[in-house]
Amino acid sequence: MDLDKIAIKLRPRASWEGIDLGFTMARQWFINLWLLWLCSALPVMVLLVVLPLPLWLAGLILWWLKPVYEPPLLYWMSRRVFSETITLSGVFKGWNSIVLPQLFAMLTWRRLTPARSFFMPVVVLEGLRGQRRTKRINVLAKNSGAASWLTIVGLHFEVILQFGLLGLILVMIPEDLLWTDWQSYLFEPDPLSEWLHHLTALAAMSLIAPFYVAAGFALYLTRRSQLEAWDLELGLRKMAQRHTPRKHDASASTKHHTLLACIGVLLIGLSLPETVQAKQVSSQEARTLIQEVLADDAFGEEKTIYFWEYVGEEENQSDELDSAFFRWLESIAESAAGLGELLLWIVVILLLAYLLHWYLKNRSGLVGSPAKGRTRLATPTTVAGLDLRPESMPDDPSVEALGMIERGDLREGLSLLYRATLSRLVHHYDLPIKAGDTEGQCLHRSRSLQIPALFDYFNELTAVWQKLAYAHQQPQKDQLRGLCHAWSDHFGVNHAG
Amino acid sequence: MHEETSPPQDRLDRARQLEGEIARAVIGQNQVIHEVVLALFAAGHVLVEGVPGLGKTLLVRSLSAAIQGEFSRIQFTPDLMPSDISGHIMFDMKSENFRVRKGPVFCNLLLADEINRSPAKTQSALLEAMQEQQVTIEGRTFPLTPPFLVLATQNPIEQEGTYPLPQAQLDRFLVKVFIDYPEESDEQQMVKQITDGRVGDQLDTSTIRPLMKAEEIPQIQNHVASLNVDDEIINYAVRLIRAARDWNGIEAGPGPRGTISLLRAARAEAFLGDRDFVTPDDIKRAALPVLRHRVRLTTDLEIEGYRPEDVLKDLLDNLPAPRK
Repeated sequence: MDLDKIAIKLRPRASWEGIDLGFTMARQWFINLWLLWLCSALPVMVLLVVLPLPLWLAGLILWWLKPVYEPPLLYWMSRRVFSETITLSGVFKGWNSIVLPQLFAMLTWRRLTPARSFFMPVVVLEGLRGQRRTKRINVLAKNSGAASWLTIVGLHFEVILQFGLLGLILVMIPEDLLWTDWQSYLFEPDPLSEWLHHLTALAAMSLIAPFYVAAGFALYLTRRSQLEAWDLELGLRKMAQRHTPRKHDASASTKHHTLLACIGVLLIGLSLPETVQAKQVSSQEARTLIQEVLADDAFGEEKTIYFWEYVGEEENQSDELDSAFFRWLESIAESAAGLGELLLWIVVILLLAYLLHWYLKNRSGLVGSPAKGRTRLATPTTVAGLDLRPESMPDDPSVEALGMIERGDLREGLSLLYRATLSRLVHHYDLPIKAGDTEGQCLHRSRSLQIPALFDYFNELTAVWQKLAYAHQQPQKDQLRGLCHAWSDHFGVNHAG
Repeated sequence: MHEETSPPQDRLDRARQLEGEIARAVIGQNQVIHEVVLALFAAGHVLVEGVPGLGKTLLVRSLSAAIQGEFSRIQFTPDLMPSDISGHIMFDMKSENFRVRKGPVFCNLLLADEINRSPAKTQSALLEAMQEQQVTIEGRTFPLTPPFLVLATQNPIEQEGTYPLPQAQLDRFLVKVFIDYPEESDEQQMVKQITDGRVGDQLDTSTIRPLMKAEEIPQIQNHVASLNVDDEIINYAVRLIRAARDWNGIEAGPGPRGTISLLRAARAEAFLGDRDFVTPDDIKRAALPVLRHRVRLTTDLEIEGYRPEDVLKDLLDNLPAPRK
């Protein structure tokens, strides 16, 4: 690494400025970065198309393998930042050494690390692992908050971009060719919709990835520059160059490096082992050195700065009347503000109460049907005065009904027979009869039992019952006796209760 | 029941065959035919909602042919005047006298096409005739010859430049009928039947047999109006209408005219079902066409896409039917 060749301007930057720098880098080299990402991701996509995987799993795998697609971008950028020319094919020639180290960790326990892009250079460029990597990350960790936010915001932009692309595609497809709509797409996607989803996800990921990786790398550079004072080093180098005759450029440069060994060796670090980055001095020696440095005029200078500061009392420029008026105005304003706040609270409470009332009133409507819960009947067995509970029936309803008919109580007898029939259909045949069902609807429902003899019997009984109930036409006793006798054939006494 | 005023049985039978007869020409719209015939026997009027080209004119022409009644059709437009419907007085140069020229409303079956295209003044001219069964021209009143059935249509998809019927006017229609696209097999049969050997798009009602005369219809209507209705049924109809007024999701429910219309339609249902008494089933069957234009849903339900039918079906399912 040669800091002289660095393509970006080094200066102390806040984290957010570092991210801005990364975005500028991504814009500058977007096409190369985008192609690099696609070269890694497209083969995976093709492989997933070929493999007989469920579509949701294919989508998940494509997303999960992001750490495989990103290191080449970082590697390429790290070379370009130091003005080193490297082709895309050059990157892929060294693909194994760039991507494979620590890939397992990147795809497992480190996959969901929010500051992934920020810590990636530690692994990919510095090649650190284990304790050394942890120590390094602890040193760099100051910018990890911004890096986490970068991931969160990037993820959101990715989703927005994906749905934007989807919307664009769906809007542009002619209505005749449109095979789906938003509702079907979101809740019941067909295979074509799922593939469209994955393709747009791929496109969105590819567009966001260069910015994500570059911003993480820029954060890393910012932090390194901050910790190791790269900007100072560059400044010193420029000063040294200005004071060195041109003909001795090469030797002067060498000398300069020697002179700055205590700084340079400490600071240069991307490709050098950590052991040579700093010259080890004892704490005693360091303290002596520091005191010597501080004793130097350049550091030990003291300056006295004078300035004026008013220390008298505030002059009261307004008269008493104005002052009283303003105090009164202020008190009015304060009262109004308090009143306003109180009113606001009252409005909020009333609004909440209204919402609660509305919810309680429309609870039944909210869960599906617009009908009022209180008007619904949970069971159809005790509606309209017609008790269908088995325990409300006599042991043998047909005998009881026949007795009533013989005594001349035709209506009561037929009513009991009809009620007992409905009760048996509900409780023994599990016929779903609603409270609002009419005789005709009960008859219609009984057809679903697919017992022709039973249906014929119920049909005859219903017709007789309707004539008696609604037309007041008395049936023949013989017909009623026949219905009573036939009742036991269809329902039997032992079914009672 | 008033047995002494009942028409002969064969006439009643012929009346019940009306649906089947019309269905020979109007294919795939059995429910619509049923509801129109129901309105005819209940002496009511029909509001039809449906897109153009579904056979509304054919339906009325077929009905007219089956009862040998007089048929008229008015296309409502924004510049249609009330006198274009009712008629006007004109000076006869020959006799040097003013004479009345009766409008198309003087008929038995009137198709008022796209009634909401005309302003309220013109609509009310027709609605008054529907209600009063008479027309006033220049101060002279002319009764309409019974039966008089108006079948007014509305197009649900083109609402620009229309004058929607107010709720009070809608209430004058006994039933509101939805006419929808026929099933594929019905449409195939209809296309084949209509295009075979036909020139142009003339409507063919030659297959319709005249089952009865228009003059016989009032007798049938009287017979229908005299059918037995048990108190339980009246109670059920009243409970239904009152529940509709208080039902969640209904902003404005039907008025007492709704209850009356429901019972009239239920009687006609019973007649068409070959019964001389009304059952709760008749009320239920008549409820949707009679009530769907008499209720107005709350805004939130309309926004959610509910139709009056959905709420009414829910009401019918949950209101206990009489079984005592």
